[in-house]
Amino acid sequence: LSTKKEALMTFVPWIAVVVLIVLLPLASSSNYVIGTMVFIAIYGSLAVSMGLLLELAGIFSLAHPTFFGLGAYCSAILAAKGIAAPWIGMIAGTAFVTALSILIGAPLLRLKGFYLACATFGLLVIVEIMLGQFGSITGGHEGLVGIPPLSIGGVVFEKDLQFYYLSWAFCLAQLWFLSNVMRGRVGRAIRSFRDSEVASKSMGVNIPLYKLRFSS
Amino acid sequence: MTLFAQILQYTISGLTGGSIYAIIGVCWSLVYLVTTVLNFATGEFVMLGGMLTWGFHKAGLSLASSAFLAVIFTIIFAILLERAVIRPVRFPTELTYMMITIASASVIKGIILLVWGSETRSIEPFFGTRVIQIAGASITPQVIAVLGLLIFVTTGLALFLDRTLFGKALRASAINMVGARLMGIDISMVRLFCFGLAGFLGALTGIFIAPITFTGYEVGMLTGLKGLVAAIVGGWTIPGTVLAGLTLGLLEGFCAGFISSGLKDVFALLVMILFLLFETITFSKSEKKR
Repeated sequence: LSTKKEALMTFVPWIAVVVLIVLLPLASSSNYVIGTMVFIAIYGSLAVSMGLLLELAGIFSLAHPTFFGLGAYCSAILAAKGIAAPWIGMIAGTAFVTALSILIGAPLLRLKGFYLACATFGLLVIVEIMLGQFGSITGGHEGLVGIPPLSIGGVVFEKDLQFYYLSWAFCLAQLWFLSNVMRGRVGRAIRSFRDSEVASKSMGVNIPLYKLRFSS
Repeated sequence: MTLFAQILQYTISGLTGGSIYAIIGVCWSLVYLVTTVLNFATGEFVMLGGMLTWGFHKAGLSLASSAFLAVIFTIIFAILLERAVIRPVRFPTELTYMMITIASASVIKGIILLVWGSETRSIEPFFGTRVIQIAGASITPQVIAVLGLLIFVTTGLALFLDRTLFGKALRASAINMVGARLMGIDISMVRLFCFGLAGFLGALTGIFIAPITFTGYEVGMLTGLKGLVAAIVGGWTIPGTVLAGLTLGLLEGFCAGFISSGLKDVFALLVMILFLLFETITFSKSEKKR
């Protein structure tokens, strides 16, 4: 009986949160509230994966926003130049950033403590400067314009409300996935070995959301 | 312009930038060695020095008195930073200090942005705009002033740390805090003093460099980071930091001249990352040997 109760207790907060998020647009239809909630979902999922690295693996990586930005740029460039549909761009962006984070993570994760923090902070600034410098590809400091709206299977995501549901679906799915990972075998492995490869993979987890940030 | 003149010109601009990084690096190591705080707001001291001077000067004060006021206000900000946000931390680690100081830097940056906007500002040069020609390269009195500041700061600090009682107390607390406290050194005073001194030097640097590179709400972070590069590569000692800062400046000057001026900051930061990696790898190897 107690295990059933425990299982119930873990599900109740999840259900409460999902119901609250589904019902919120009914309570307030103002675009401002919905728009803000979209950003809460996006930054929330960024914070979750950053916190996972810090809490579980003891890695204080300031390069996380770099991967966030690069994922967004990668998928946005593919979409804006008409090379691929936005949703393919999202997947390509995710794959690209995951590969990149493993490549960068392999040497950098040898560093310890504040050395790692300094190095990743340097990386953050480097990428920011480079994105500003290569204006012909990235749009420079003005940003990238003309990204077509995201569409999956004939459904075009244009309105704030659609982004609201999409971003929260991503955020909660990620939260659920990561909390399962933490409890499972991989989570224990990270805890005990502080495995560098898994850690760098988890850096790349939430990149699909980045496309959203730029088109919303 | 001949190649020789070009090289001379890049050397001059490199040494100018290098002096700045050297002084900022000294600010980092002063604070880090005594308090173990990696103060990411160090660069903001530079920004405050320049921007406050510009602000007071615009409000009608003379250049000298506005520079004086800017230095005083930056010292007050540095001391407040230690007193109000760094000392109250209950179980401090280097990483919590890092997060706190990065956040404080963003706050002060945001305040300056709100008050004075995002345009870059400049202060008029102290000794006129005369240009001295040496073998085809040109040098302004302001550049000489910056180099003079570096010499003044390093000799002043060396004398202070070596000859005065308080300087010796500072060195003692850097070596062993508990021991220093047992010998009757007032540690909280020493900590405050270190932050104040870093604020003083940072503001002074910001005022000296503002006529050359201009100032703005966002100059702090990059200048500060390069100071950190100098401090890390120099092994947190004053001579090492000065040497590393000047080398970094020269490297940057030549990169800007011969490769690309837009990417010079990238080279400086790459140097830092590569050095950190190199040191970690060689360190772990020497550990294994032992």
